[in-house]
Amino acid sequence: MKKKLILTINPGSTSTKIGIFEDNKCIFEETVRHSTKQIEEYSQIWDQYSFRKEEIIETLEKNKFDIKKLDAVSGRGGLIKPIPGGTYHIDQAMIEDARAGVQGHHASNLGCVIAYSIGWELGIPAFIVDPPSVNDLEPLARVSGNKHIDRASLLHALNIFATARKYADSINKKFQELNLIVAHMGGGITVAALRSGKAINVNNGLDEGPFTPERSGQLPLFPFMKMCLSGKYTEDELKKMIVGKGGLNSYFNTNKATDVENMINAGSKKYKHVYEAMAYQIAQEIGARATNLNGKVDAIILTGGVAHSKMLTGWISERTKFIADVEIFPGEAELEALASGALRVLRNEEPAKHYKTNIKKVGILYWDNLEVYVSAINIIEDVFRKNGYVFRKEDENIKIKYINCKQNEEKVMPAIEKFKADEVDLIFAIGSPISLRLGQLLKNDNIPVIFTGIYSPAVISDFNKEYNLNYYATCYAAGTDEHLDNTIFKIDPETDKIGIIYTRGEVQSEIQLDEFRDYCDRRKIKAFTYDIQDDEGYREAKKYFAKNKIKWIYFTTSTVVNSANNETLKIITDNFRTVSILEDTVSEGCLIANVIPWKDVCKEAVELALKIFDKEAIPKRVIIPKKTKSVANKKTAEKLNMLDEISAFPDVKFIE
Amino acid sequence: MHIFDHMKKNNSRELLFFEEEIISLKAIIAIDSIVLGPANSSIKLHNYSSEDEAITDALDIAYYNSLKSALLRRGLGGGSIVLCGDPKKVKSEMYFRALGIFLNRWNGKILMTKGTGVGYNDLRDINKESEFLLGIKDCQDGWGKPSKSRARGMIWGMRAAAKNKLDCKTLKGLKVSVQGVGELGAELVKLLIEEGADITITDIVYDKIKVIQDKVNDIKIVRPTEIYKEKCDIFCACSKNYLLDENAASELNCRILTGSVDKVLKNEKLYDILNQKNILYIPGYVINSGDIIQFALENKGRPLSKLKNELQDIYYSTLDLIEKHEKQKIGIEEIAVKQAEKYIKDIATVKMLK
Repeated sequence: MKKKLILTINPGSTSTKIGIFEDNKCIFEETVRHSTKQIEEYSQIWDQYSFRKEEIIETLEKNKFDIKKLDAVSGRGGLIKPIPGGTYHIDQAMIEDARAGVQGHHASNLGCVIAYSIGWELGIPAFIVDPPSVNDLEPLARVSGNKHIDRASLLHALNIFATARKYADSINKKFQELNLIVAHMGGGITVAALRSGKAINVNNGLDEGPFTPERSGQLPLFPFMKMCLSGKYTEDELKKMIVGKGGLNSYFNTNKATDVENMINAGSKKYKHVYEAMAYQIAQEIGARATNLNGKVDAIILTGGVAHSKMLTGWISERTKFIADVEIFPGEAELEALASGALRVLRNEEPAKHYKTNIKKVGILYWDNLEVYVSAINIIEDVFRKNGYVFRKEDENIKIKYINCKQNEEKVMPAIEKFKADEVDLIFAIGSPISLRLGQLLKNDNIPVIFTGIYSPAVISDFNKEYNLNYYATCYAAGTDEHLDNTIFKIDPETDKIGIIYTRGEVQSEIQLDEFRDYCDRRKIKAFTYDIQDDEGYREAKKYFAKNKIKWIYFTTSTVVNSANNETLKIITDNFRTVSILEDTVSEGCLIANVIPWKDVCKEAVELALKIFDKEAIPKRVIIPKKTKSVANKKTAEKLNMLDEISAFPDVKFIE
Repeated sequence: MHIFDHMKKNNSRELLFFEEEIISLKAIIAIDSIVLGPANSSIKLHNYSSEDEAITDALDIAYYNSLKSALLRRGLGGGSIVLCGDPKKVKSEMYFRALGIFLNRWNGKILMTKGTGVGYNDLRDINKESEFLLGIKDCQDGWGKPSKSRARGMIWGMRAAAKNKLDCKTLKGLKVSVQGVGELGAELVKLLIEEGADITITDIVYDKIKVIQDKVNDIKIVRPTEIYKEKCDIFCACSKNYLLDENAASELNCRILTGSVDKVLKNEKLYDILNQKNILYIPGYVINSGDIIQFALENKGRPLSKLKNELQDIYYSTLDLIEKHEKQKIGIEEIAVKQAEKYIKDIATVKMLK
């Protein structure tokens, strides 16, 4: 397998770490430091985008790395809306949320837009992996104690999950199988309880939990409230007291743990007292997480830059080792985690998720419990799943509602009204019968409808054009040209006349008759048409076609074939070479058909839905999947002495 | 191609070369025509892959400057100043001052104006040595910025096209796709938003998109490869000349095709595809000459307050060309070129009387 080259980008407050990975192996890593002047030039973090991106590209060029060779870019996701963990495609909605700072402004918000921008210009995918806003909190953990406030999860997800994976690998287990407490200790500190690979509870990294080198953590409420209302401080100053100038920084004017340790080593009791208090609070948070896991903890993991401090980890271990073994993974593995997340997607080991800030709602309307429609529903669900959608589970990001019309036309419009009341984002209407009816009933409706598995584009061209219907469609019949080229003219290229059987009054049959006539006109082929209304018509048709020495006969629709009983149908199929449009009609006795696999028809419908969700351009409203296959009836071929003739084409599959 | 062949092909009048090695200044000056007045010569700085490419570009720009001026009956000729070099490496104060000194030799026959790859700071450096510059007064605000005039002129041109083809008096509610959102494209997008158009944008450089995205919510963004397929009323090409090829043309899903670039289509064969698709094609140079109206005003020493009204001329000239196109069943391009050439010829004849 070709190795994948992945650029990883992790913006921090004064620097941007970048790495190039060949699969999981880091082949280049550098911390691009930005001058204070550059940083201070912009009042908004978001505006640092241009110079940070420029310096990343310059660093790569300086190191003679050809960015055109990259397969993907993976950036650290920012404080976007709460989402489940995993690897995500970067899209416009995510960038918009990062820009707006829906959960706060932080340098990591730039990770997605810089990655997206580089990916855009190189035409390669761009991802984020486990952003800080990963929210897998269990329901009880979301309750704050005040009805106006919900607890939100903001954690160092990238390093926490990466370190948990690393630990699990070291003991040959999957991290999803373990109950772990992981404390990331850097400028911010978050302590997460991991169960089944999810952070079921964690302190919010900005305003909860232990104090840190530069954050205050959770403060006593009343004294802080008093400070807020004293009028002495602006909102920005108060925010800085919590994040930036809190914690060790507030006591000692330094946010470097090493400075504090140097003072302790020099004999300062004051420094030791506060530093040990930080360890005390971290241990306390670990203890709290142990209760979230009901005391069943496989290991406690200490990680992050501050985990390099033996003094601090020693104090924490001492207080927590009664819960479980304490493992120390100093430093951060964020770049590796970004690369691994992207690599899992590039290798198709897991699908990249779509950033969904709302749960999508989809309605499926189908004609009846016939096998063909049920299989369509199964395929649609499966394709959604493969695209990272989850339904009927706790972490669902899509809701699917189903209505069976039970072949009752009267039920179609009420079903649509029900879907509208449920505020679905779009509707799948499965099968031609329902599509034909629905097409005539919908009027000026904004709700997108994907007619899934209609016969041909001609079916919906008949819809009422006065109305502005927001419809899309996928077709199951190959175009007339392709159909006839792959059947009659493949086997018998010299054919100069063809018979056609249709039923006047059957809409689809008449549409198909027009297309067929058009085909014959263009190819200068004589067309002999016969309208069959009943069984007697088959006998008359046989005489008519025999008289005109017709070899090949084309059935316009499956309904025309199905209207006759087997014996009647044989009047035609046993005496002429017949072409039909569905695999089913070949099973019933027709000689040959060129068909589009049903699976592709349904898959294309979901692809349309995904584009509608993502507000992407949809170049074609009506999709005819390109891949077709030809099928022939073996018994009929034998009867007509055509077995050898058809066998000469290995791509034609015989069915019994 | 030999230099004289180049000139013959473009029917160009003068081609000048200037090099100053110490400051890496390599300039090609093309003068297409000075019949209508001094040559309005856009300065373009670009890292050309060959001299041939640079000469072709210089002659092209000069030709279209003549054409645009003649179509709008303004008293300016057409020229160009093409600077060959990597903008990141060659730009310096001395570089542009030297250019100013060199151009002074023509004593006002060549008037320098801003083109691509050159910023207002660069023009100010030229201005330290030369007074033969147009479009730098009040260039940071108001009407002085030529790209604003150009974009406003394009809005008038689009209104004319929309009136004729779509029976719409304004651009309100129309879907407009803008391909390329550099300085001019971004200016155009801003005006289209003010007009109430429904806009889709793209650019191969994401940074340019981000600038717009940061200011405007809910603007639709598509990948560069997707823009042609995007269903719209007006497709506006604002990236580079001759970009729209056969594949792109067959994908187009619009009713009017135009642009800020002078020549949108890669070749003339594409007219057939556009005709088959019933797309009204208005060459960029028909509507993108708002800056020329501004330069002409400045050159005559008239106040820029007149500009707002005078830009409406683009509306009437575009409408006139479309109507002739409908009556004569000839492409707008052919009519425009004939009309401009005739005007220049007539003025030349009149001037001979002097």
